[in-house]
Amino acid sequence: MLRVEDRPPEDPPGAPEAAVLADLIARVATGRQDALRAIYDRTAPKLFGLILRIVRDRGAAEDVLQDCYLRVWQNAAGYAPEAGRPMAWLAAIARHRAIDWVRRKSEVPMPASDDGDEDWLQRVADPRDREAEFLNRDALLTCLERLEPTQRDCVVRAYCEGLSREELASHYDRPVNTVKTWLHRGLASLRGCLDEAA
Amino acid sequence: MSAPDETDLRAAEYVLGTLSADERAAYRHERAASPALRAAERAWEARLAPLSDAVPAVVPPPGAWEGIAARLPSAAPRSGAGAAPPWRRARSPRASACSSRSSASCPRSSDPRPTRRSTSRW
Repeated sequence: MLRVEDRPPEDPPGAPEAAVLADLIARVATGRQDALRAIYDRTAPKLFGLILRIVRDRGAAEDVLQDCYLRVWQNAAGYAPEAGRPMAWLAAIARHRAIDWVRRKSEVPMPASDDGDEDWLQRVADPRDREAEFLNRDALLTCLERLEPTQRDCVVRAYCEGLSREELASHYDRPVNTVKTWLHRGLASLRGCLDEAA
Repeated sequence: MSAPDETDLRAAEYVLGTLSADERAAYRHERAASPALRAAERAWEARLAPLSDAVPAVVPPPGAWEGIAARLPSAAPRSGAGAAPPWRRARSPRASACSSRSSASCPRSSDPRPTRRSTSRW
């Protein structure tokens, strides 16, 4: 299994990872299973990390990971490079498969995770933990910092940990409608700030 | 003003993942006929994508790829590409009967190769 920082030797020199992934997705769309394998080798640790954080069970996360790559196989023809970077497209598939799984699994909210103090924003800002994948990272961080702390925490924990409104309400010991209001205000402010920055 | 905001916030909450299973299903149903919802969703995926860098990568269990390969349509070996790998020649009928939709509850594909599947829980 490749580590994230590994680069397969067949990379054209200097080829940006996004271009390589976009090319591999295009090949998957033509039915090339070897291209799917290449995407897997490059992205599985990242996607498995996202899925595992949300699903919180290694066996289930492996099932969701497999679903995720089968979805990539089926939907590769629908990937449009102008609609977003390939890693964002892959991460969205992984997150949505994982969130579907946890929402289906039980209507009873899962208990909030133990590591509620995890500083996700610090991790985003940490250059060790990122590839130069997302150009709008700094703008997002700046705009998140401007949100009310509770609104920011709700947005970030929902995204990174897959928490539902009900789980957030339980975590903050507030009514679900209050959390919904926090989320909506936070998201609307975030959008306003990002649009301004763009 | 309120209608576009509503569209945008629904897409935002869908991307964020905070909707219930029923709300997600309803959203997807509506999205199929709504270019505005699809555009709003794409914009939110792009806005929030940098957050995915915060989540640490984790190497998947060995054998995870073989489970995927077993569920791909069997393909004739490509000229010059060598023989199909062993897992593709020994497909499990149970695994191939599992659709991608329901597979989270499907039996694990029988992998002909020994695996060291972790049973630890997170």
